[in-house]
Amino acid sequence: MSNKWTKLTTVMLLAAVISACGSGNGNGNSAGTGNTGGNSGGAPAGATDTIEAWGETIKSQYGGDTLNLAFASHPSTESFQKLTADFEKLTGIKVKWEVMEETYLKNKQLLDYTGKTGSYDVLMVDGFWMSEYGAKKVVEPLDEYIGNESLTPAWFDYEDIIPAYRNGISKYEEKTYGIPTAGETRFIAYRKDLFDKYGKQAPTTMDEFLELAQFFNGKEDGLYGVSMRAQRGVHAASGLMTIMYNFGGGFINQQTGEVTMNDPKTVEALQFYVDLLKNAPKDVVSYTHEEALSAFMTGKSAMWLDATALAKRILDPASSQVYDKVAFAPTPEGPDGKASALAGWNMSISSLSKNKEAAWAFIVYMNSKVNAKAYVEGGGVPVRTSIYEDQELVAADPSYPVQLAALNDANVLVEKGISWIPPHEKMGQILDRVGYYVSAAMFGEVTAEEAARKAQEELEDIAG
Amino acid sequence: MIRSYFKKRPHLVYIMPAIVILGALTIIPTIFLYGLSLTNYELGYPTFDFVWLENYMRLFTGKDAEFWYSVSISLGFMLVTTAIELLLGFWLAVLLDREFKLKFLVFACMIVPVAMTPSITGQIWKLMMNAEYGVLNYFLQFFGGKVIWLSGENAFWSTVLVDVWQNTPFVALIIYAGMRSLPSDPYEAAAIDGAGKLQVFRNITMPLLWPMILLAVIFRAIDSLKTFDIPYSLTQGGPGSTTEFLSLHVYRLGFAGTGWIGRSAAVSVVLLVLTTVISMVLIRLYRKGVENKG
Repeated sequence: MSNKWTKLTTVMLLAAVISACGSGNGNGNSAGTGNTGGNSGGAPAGATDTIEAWGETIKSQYGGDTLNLAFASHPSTESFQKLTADFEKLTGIKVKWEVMEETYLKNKQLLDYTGKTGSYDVLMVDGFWMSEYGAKKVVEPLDEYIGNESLTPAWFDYEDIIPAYRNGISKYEEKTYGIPTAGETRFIAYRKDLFDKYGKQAPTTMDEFLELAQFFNGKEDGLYGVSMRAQRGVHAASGLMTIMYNFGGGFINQQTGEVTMNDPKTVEALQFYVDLLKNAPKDVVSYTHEEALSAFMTGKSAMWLDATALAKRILDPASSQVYDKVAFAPTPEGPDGKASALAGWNMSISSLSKNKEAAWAFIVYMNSKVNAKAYVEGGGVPVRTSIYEDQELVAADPSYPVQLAALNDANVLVEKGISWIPPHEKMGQILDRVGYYVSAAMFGEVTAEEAARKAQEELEDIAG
Repeated sequence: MIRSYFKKRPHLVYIMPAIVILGALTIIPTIFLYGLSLTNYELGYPTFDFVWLENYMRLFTGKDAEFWYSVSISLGFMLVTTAIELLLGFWLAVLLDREFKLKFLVFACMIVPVAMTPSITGQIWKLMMNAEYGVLNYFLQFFGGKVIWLSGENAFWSTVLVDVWQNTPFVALIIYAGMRSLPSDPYEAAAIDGAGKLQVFRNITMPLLWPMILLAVIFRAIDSLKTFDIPYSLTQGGPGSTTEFLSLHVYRLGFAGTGWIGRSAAVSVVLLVLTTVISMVLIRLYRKGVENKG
């Protein structure tokens, strides 16, 4: 017996030692990535007017450096990875990818920042996190980089990125902290064959949307009315946000900063969301966008309201059973008019990065107009006007015009001075708490009014 | 001088390494945790303030509604799984305690769940329990049944089921080992005195096995009270908060989304106290059992 314990202890000790060595190595590496030359801080000199000339200039300054990236698993990330080899060849900068799941990614980025480790240079940042990151100074303000012509050549074309994205997901307190890389609004996909069979039209108002969901729910064997994301936490909160602005509701009043959870309009939206999802598969309370999508793609639901970025997969014969039976429609109009979601991912520079200009070179290359088409063809999600208007791409993906229409709806919000993701330093906490109470209401634990009242209390506590 | 100090206390040389390692890996972080629980530290902010007992006040005045719910389901989970695993494990051990063919194969099968990483167990069961495509419902449909395994009503019991699957063999093996090491003299004496099977079991087997059973209970009770991996990969605490056990609540508050490290630390302190109290009671029982046996 005692012998066994000794062995066990030895093994555990060894494991501890090995893991300690491992992390030691990691630190060594990241320390080695610092720019050895004295040229960080100064603007790169030399020609940058073509991408090749720019590559030469960058190579002469940062060639041989290594960039560490912390990215989320996402189709855009995969597409960027396909472009990496070209970037490395052109600039001589080595790129080390770390790709992980979203919740874990945020955690890791924040821990890295809190611990002052600075192991990452380029971060992939969800638009939802931007206010928090900006307030905590996790990421570097980019306005100076964008404004500097030698750092940002004309072929990058910042203005070509859809304005809703530029203003909606990458700013905090008027400063730019990220370059939008993948954006999405939300729209409806519906089963054309079923709608034709029963002589129905695509919904244009929220009332019609609910009626259709109720109509199709159980109409055929194993068919549900609608599928959406609704898992407790951020997913439920973001699901509610998809329809909330069309009712005129909101979590906080973006002008005064007051919490408006128990505003009648918000409660109405919450009630609608709860009623709507009674026509969804029974375990919808555990659905993220993945489950909601697969329910639609396997023909289990007649309608689906979620991210435009996922439309590609619905239209892909390899993954979808309904690829030839779908049509799309923008988010229906609510009592308060049109509105549409606006969310997306950014590339940002870590404020602790020791090699910010090489990091910026990476961002410029990956997101430039020149590479935009290659990026989209590699599976990336478009954010540029020129891409949405590209004839060839529109022919390949018939959802593009509806996406652009939905993006116009998203502009409605931007023009109203409302950003779809409320700009608040404590956004993460607000979404988590709202998501909890939305889920409780959906679950039938409390009524919508009750959930809204409790959320109001907690949000006041957080925001106050 | 040091040498003479150690000479007078020879045991120190032997326990020092353990004390140092424990101190570095457990005691210091625990003290740090107590400190953290008195602050309003939030992930990502450079500074924090001491708020003293505010985090605890929040918990005990019911402001954090999920906390009490988490406490109750954590305790419930502990009781239910420990009881089921103990009964099933005991039964399995009795079945094993005889000679039969292919016994080694049965043992091999029993080792599989014990050896499997709990988070992987959770992932695999999550696939099997998927309401629409899972293999469990595939087989159930032959009998005309369909269970939404991870729905609000069932998620807790599904988690119990997975935990039972994973840990029953462990309990069975401990008790089986205990049975094999029982002395044979009392049984011979009982046979001579003409005791019935039930009497032998009640008056000889049970008392002799008692320490082993308690040992299994201690392991399982403490482990299931702080269960994390299985519910984390199976349900992430949902739907709603139906499977948000205390450890998951700690994780949610501190890391997933909200970053309230201070509040999260306060909950972990409560979990720590709960675990300590329960294990102290059980260990005391165990000691008594061992003394009685001697």
